[in-house]
Amino acid sequence: MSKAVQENELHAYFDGELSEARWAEVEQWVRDHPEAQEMLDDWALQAAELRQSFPAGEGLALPVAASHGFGWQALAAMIAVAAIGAGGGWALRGAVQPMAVASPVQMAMDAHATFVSEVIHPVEVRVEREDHLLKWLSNRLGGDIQAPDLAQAGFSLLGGRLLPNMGLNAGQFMYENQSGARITLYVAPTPDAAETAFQFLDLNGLQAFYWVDKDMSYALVGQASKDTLRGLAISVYEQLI
Amino acid sequence: MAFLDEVEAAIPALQRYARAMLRDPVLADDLVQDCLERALRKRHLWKPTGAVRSWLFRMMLNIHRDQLRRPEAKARFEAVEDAQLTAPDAQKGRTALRETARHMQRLPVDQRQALLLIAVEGFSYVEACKILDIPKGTLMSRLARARAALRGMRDEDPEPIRLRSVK
Repeated sequence: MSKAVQENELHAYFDGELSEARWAEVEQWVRDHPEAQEMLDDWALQAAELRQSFPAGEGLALPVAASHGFGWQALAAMIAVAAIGAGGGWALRGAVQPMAVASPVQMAMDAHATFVSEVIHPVEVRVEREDHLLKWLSNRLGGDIQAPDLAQAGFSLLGGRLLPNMGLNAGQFMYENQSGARITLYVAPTPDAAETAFQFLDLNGLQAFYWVDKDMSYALVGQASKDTLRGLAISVYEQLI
Repeated sequence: MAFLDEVEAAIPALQRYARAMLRDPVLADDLVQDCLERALRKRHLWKPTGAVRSWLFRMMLNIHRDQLRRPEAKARFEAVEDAQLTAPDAQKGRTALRETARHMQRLPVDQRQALLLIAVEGFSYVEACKILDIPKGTLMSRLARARAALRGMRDEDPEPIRLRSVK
């Protein structure tokens, strides 16, 4: 017999802090209470919007004086910052917010980090409904959105999702290979951005190839080797021409 | 991961948290920089069993709290916060995202801190309690009030633009 669900328990349920036994009870209770489900959906939306509103920073060099004896690491930190700086000019669009200006590649890496570890909900719409997914994303992003086929490289499409993108929408496709490695392709309309060549970014082991082509920004993100990722990015690029 | 690697890996998240708290990226990065300096000075106090990330967050919040106690700094921080709160919308076509960021600024700082640690930084309740130095009941009530307040503000918006998922 399950006891009544307290609001605190709903938060714990939502934040993954409930015991497994209680979790199942609360889950059932939520199923029977649509207004609770609606509240949970709102919290999820809040969290997603917060993560997008407050993107991760671009890194800072560790204070050199304090890290004596570790000069190479401070140097590495500065190189990481420089690498981002190089990409920073890419899409400083609509800078109404005085805080951080999130470039598409940062948002892509953020979204990758958020969703790639999801076991149950890696995508919002699964590949079984690919037609629906593409139609939906095409509508919401504007334009003809296609999911490239990466089967030759061993990656199959899991599905995709819609993401917030500073007032415009963005889409994310997730792919997985046989050993379970996942990569994501982030697609975001960037109407005024100039076309760019491939650029590469490595952020604490998470890597991205990104480029702008025909008013769309693309970022292919994953932890694959740089060469693998480059090969995949080229394949994506060629398919989307 | 070595200590310095972990510190370095935490920097983007520290920047994000500081920016969300202070709204002024320059002040925020100053705060992160202060935190990094103190962390490297005090690295011998860090217990290898604990997570470097939550140790850093706790340290950063302590530094911020100390700064707020100094009168001249207090005025500076508050001026920035006020300016942000009263700034007119730069663009009429407001978006859900900008609204969310703006709504966050209307929350009391305690609630904002709690929600950011859980919803954005992904800390567990136990970690967040340690970082904020509060008991679990206090954390839960701040979290609950923050989430409820954000929902309420969303409902009172004249033309909320919501991101919908298609079923």
